[in-house]
This record gives sequence, structure tokens and C-alpha cells, in this order.
Amino acid sequence: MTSLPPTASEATPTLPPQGVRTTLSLLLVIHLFALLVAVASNFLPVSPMRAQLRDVPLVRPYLQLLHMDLAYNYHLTYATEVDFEHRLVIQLAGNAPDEAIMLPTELWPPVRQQRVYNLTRTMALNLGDDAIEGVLPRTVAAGLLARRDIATGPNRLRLEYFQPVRREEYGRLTETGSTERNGTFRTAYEANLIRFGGQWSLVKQASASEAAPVVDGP
Amino acid sequence: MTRISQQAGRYFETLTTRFGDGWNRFWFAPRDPATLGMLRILTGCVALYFLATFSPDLVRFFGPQGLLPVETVRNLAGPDSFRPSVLQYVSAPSELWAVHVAGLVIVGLFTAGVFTRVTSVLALVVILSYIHRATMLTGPCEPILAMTIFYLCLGPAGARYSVDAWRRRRRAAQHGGVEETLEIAPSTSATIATRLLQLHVSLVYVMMGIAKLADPTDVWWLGEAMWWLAARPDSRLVDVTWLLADHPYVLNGWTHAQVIFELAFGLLIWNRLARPLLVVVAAGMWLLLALVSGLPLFCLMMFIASLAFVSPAVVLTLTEAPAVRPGEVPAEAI
Repeated sequence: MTSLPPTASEATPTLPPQGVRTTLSLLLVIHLFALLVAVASNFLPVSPMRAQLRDVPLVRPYLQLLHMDLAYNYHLTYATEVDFEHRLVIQLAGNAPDEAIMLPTELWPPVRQQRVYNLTRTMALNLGDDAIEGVLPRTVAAGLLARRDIATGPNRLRLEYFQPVRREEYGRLTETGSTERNGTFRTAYEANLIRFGGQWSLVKQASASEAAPVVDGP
Repeated sequence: MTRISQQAGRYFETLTTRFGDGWNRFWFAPRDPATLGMLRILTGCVALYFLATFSPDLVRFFGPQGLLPVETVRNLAGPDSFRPSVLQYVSAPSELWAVHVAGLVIVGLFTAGVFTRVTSVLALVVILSYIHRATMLTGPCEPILAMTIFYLCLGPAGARYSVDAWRRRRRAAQHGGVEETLEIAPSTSATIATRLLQLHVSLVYVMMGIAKLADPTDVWWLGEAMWWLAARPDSRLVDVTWLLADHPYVLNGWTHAQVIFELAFGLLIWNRLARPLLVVVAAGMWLLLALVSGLPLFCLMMFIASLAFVSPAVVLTLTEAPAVRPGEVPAEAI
């Protein structure tokens, strides 16, 4: 009678020596703890304890170094403003009043276009924080204008997002042949780009009578 | 009282022994590096594409008078940020191109499996350099790409399907063709790399599912989320709004299926019986999502990372002679 080969549970695989296993186990536990910290401290409202986890020495730099400092909470969409495609529009003043520079333009392959959408989405996510909301739009706009040798202003800068139509409206708009059957662009942020001291500055116009500088050039 | 304490003692002794045995088997039982070899080629191809698509925009983003000067990126990241990048130290177009071409060569060598132990680490440095140079350009794909390459650095990713393996075979043939030198021994580092990737991928799946359940606007609960993804004209690869607009049950079913799939994959993938089914379903789900979401690279990378659950025996069966001989413990059984 032939004996059956040992099952997985019966067989003892060749393991590394105890000392090596202990060292590796320690490193594994540290890495898994860091991952736990990343998820716990980045997802949903954070309790003081969860927030403090990030202050464990070396955890934050370790996670940032490996680009793992995130909760991987990829919801893809909540159908809010920031989940839609944003574009940066610079309406040129002066010699070309009707001309506009747009970002992104149509780019191929799609991953390039997506990269620019990530950039404009970051601009949208920063909105509401007065300290930084204008930094990225101003810097990017300055770069775009410099590439076209435009040094005159004021130019009008807008961050627009594409608001798709609701499913219920789509059929009706399609039947009527509406040009807005896909959706419309709406403005999320608007400011004037003014040239001052050789640098571009952003002046956000809250109302017709009020204008406040939000970001100056370096 | 003594009997209770004795029983408690025995319970904890059994608990620690079994946990220790399970821990050792899970992390340290040697496994064939075939899965890592397959993942290296697939991930390397994505990394190459990721880098190559930076070529037309390299100077526009990072050059002098570029859209994203180093100073601005650094200020936005904050003083505590620790995101080093080789690209932070170059801005002249010629320097940028030199670094870029070097990066492409390194990732190409990694993909082909040339000096893989070295090039895998260098490839990670290259990819992280692009990510860290401007995190505002990154989406959900980059973290998955970075983590997969990181774990491939830990294991013998170049032991199979690589130039390294071919060179080893050729050397063995020149020196008399001793069979042992051709054998690729199962290794503990392959197990650790694979297990870490598996755990991390599960975590990503579960978190994706939970994020959708925590939806403050209820679009995932109402079964409408896929509409809002598909209705973005510039991002989508295929327009299916005509289908989803007229067939609300298709829309609802797809939306709910996406959430269920993500949670199910993260949890049930650890069941050996469910594993093949989930990997096949993953191929379909990620393909469909790539078409409507306009995130093809992310979807592809998620699917590739999910392949960490394919056992080495299956990979070997598909590529060469069976690895498991009678009487040998199959790697996937551990």
C-alpha cells in the first residue's frame, strides 16, 4: 500500500533560522504598523489618537518616502464639484481680448490629459483655503503665459468644472437636440492676473466693488 | 481556581504556538519566484509607459519657466514633507532629458530583468522621483505602481523570465550544465514580497469599498455613481451614457456590483477556492471601469497587483514545465 504524500499542514517547510525570522518579523510588524497608521490617520474625520499615530517617530517620513501616506479611499466619484473635470482658463486681455489659454487642451495618450486633470483637481481641492488656493493657479498661469511670451495684463483667470447633466435630464435634452445635453461648464474660482514688479499676481474679485490681492509672485 | 488557571495557561500556550506556526508558514515558507517574475514584467511595462508619457511634457512641467517650479511644489507640500526626488535638482532641458532617458533605460532594464536586484531598487527611485517631483500630477495609479515596485525590490523578481535567468542558464551550460545550477530554489524573500503585496492589495480593495460605503452624497448607495463617472466627456474612453440613461437597472446593478466586488475581493481573495473566480471577475470589472472612468492605467495597475494572488504553480504551468513534483509541497498550499 503506497502512502499518500504529506498534506500542507503535515509538511514542515524549510524555514530560515530563528534569528533571521525574528528580525524579519520585527521589520514586517513595523511596516504593517506604518500602513495601518497611513490608513487610520487619513480616512474620514480623525480622532486625536488616530492623528497622533502619525507622530510616531519616522513613520510619516517612511510613508511619504514610499508614497504610501494615504488611505487608498478611492471613491472614484461622489458627484461633487471636485469629482468632475476641471480646466484652467486664462482669458487674455490687451491685444487679444477674445483669446484664451486653456489647460488641459486635448492631449494624447489619455494618461497625459488625466495628469493635467489631477493638477486642476488639486487646484479645486485647495479652494477655500485662503493661504494656498491661489498659489497653484497663479504659478501654472505664470508658466503658461511665459511660454507664450505674454507679459501684459490684466488677464482673467478662471477655474471651471464640467457639470454633467443628471441622468433624468439627459434623455429630454437629447430629444430636444440641446447642445447642453452632456453638461455645462461652471466657474469654481475666478481672479484677475495682474503684472506687478515683473511678476504675476492674482487678485480675487469677490464682488464688483471689492478686490483683494490673494497671491503675489515670489 | 487552579484548574481554571491551568486551562487558561494551556489555552494561551496553544494560541501562541499556533499563531507562531501560522505566522512562520505565512511569511517564511519558501515559494517559487514565478509570480514575482510575471509581476515584474507587467509592472515594468506600465512603469515604462508611465515614464514615456512624461516625455512630451517634461520641460513644460519641470523645465525653466515650467508650470510647476520646485519652490512652489515644496511650499505646497509643507516643511515636514519628506518626498525626495532626483528631478528636484535639475531644471535645464538638457539635464532633464538626461535624467529622463536614464530613467527610461533603468526601468527598461528592470522590466527585462537585467541585474534585477540593483535595477529594481533604481526603478523604484526613478518612479518615486517623478511622483515626488509633483504630487499634484498624481492620481490613484501612482501609489499602486510605487507599492508594487517596492515589494518587487524585496524578492527575487528577476529569478525567472529575465535576462538574469537566461545568463545564468548560459553560464551553467558553458560550465558543464550541472542541473542544480539551473534549478531556481524557492525562497523566503519571494514569499515575503508576495505576501506583503497581497496584504497591501487587499487593504486597497477594502478601503476602496469602504470609501464608497462612506459616501456622503449617497450616489453609490442610490446606484447612480457609474452615471457620474460615465458622464464626464473628456475623461471616458467609451461613451455608454446612451445605455445607462435608458436602462437604470443596468446602471444600478453596475454601481452596486462595483462596491460588492471591491469588498468581496479584499476579503474573499484569501479563500483558495474563491481566488481564481475573483481574479477572473477582477479582469472584467477593471476593464469596464477603465472604459468609463478614463483611468485605464489605474485599472490596469490594480489588475496587475491583484495577480499577486496567482500561485507560482499556475504561472509555471502557463509558461513552462510544472514546478511541483510528486511529494513536494505546492507553494500555494502554504
